[in-house]
Amino acid sequence: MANNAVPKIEGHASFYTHLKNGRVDKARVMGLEGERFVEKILVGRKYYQAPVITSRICGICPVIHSTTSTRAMETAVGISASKQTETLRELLLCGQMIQSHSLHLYLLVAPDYMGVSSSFELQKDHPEIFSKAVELKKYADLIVEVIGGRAVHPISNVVGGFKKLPSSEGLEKISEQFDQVAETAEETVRFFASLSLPEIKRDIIYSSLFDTKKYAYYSGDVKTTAGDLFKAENYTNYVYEELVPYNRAKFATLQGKTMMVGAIARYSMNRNKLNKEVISLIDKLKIKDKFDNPFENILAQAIENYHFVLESKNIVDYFLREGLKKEKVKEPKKMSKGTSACEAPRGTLFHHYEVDKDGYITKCDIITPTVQFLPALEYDIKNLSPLLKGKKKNEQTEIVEMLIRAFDPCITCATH
Amino acid sequence: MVNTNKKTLAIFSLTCCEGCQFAILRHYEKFNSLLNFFDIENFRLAQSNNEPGPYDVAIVEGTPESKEEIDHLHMIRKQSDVLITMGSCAHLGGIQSERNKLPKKFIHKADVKTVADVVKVDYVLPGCPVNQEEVFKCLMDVYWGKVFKLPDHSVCFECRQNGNECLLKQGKACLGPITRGGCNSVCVNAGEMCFGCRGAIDQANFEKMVEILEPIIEEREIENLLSIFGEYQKEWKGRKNGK
Repeated sequence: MANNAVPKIEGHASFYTHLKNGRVDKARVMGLEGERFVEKILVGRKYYQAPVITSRICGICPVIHSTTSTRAMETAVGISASKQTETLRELLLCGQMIQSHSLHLYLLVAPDYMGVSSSFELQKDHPEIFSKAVELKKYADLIVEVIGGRAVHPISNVVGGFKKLPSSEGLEKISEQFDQVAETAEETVRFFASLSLPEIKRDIIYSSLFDTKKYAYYSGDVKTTAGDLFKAENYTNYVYEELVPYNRAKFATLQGKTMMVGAIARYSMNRNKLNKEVISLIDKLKIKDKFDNPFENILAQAIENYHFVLESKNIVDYFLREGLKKEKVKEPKKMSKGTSACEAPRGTLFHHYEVDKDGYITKCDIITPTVQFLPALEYDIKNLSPLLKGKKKNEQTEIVEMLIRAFDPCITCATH
Repeated sequence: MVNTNKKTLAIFSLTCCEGCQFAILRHYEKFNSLLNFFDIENFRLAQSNNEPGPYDVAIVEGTPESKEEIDHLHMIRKQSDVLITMGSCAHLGGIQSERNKLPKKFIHKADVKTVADVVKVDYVLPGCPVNQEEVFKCLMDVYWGKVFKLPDHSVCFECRQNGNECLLKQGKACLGPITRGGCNSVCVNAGEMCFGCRGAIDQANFEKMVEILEPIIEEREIENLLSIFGEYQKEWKGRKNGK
């Protein structure tokens, strides 16, 4: 079966599966979006434009692109960001995670399990669920707006620091919503834990950022379940990117091996570093320590969503208590190269830049999470065979689409 | 009261970041109130049951890249009474239009085109991303049969009203003077310069703008700045020739 653009995912993608003797023989996921050559466009531009332009790679995850880009560029131009700047960026990323996860969970995934076709129908038939989505998304938008200056394509976070610090009124506005939002985030975990997800089992390599002290998302080294531990700047030795003839998006592997990144990988590897309240909830709900079913990515996202709501509370509380210092945006000191890796909602994102002595970009390389899990997605579509057996064509399409949605691919990112 | 005179609306996305779709979904209550006036017949990002045309109103974001996307765009035009473009990509070519300047041996693709290069466009909603309020205002004007007009003042006008300190006066680069307002100077409010995402106003004076920028940044960087979201001058020249 072949199919046109899969609805309710970020970007345009279609898939093709070939069934032979009841088994999926071939599975291909194809990005339909045109390539924009962002990496090439940046060459010849001044260093500070990298975050401005790369945030436009994606409309659902602009924050993570701008932050990863800023960090990589700061290394390239010899700036080390202040503690305050880094904490503010962490808060921005909390907003990013909640924005993306809540939207994906409630508006794109939930309709699949509630027997409705769209978020608009969800709103009509299950207004109580729909309102949770709106509440979480609004909270996350508020964070990004207060800290970054705008909810989509944030502005204030630049190479060297923040051009404008958030106002205390803004922070207060966020803090007023905490209790309600934390409750909703907790209910979200309960709700998604109660769904009966399609079941397939498989063994796959997980890869995510790792920090000995915390649930890594802003900084840390990359760790994989294949036993690798490497620094972001060494990414080319581990993450191989290649062109696939039928796809506009590239495919990336861990030295040739298929891997999975994103919430499911982060949860399975760093579960014990989640916020204590989150851990006690997942213990109470008897949620597994490690996930081996790709559909469980949904549950991992719901758990992370709760974690990042609590994390954002800690950071905002800290700033309300300690106040914000006025700091100048730092100026470049040297011009060389730099790499950074952050956890995007969908997995580890790498940005790498090289600049000439005048501060103009000479090289740019971006590896997005979706590119890293596309091979795993094709692999898992093949694993769907037992669930597809004996089903009608439209039911088969539905199941494959559900799997694709569970992965939460971002095709606009993948075809940057 | 149930509105029985709803118009049909379709929202389409070509090659772009889809940020404009997220921008209009922000403040969901507002988006929701729109549903009192429009039935959303096609919106792939948010729903599975997408109806074929005809539509009363179609919104298009992104640039048409492949043959399929160009054909799709022609189809949308054919099926829609009113076609509105949303965002800098559809309007100016977006960040990707910079690739038109790259040597052809790297890029085995046709040049990036704006939506207006391919089909007739009724209204343009500029910005990267679009201003949600402006989108809704345009849709309501269309609903009531009014002619929607973009503001014809520069970003500076709004920036001063917002009480921001002028960046140019501080010796920093900014494209506010030549850029169309309507964004409430959101970037300058957040401490950043105006990057000109909304394109040039009718009275834009590019020579003067370059003259002002010359003592601040080098020529190469000025060129850089005037082309982040597409060729600002090209669009403006096209308009001057009555295109």
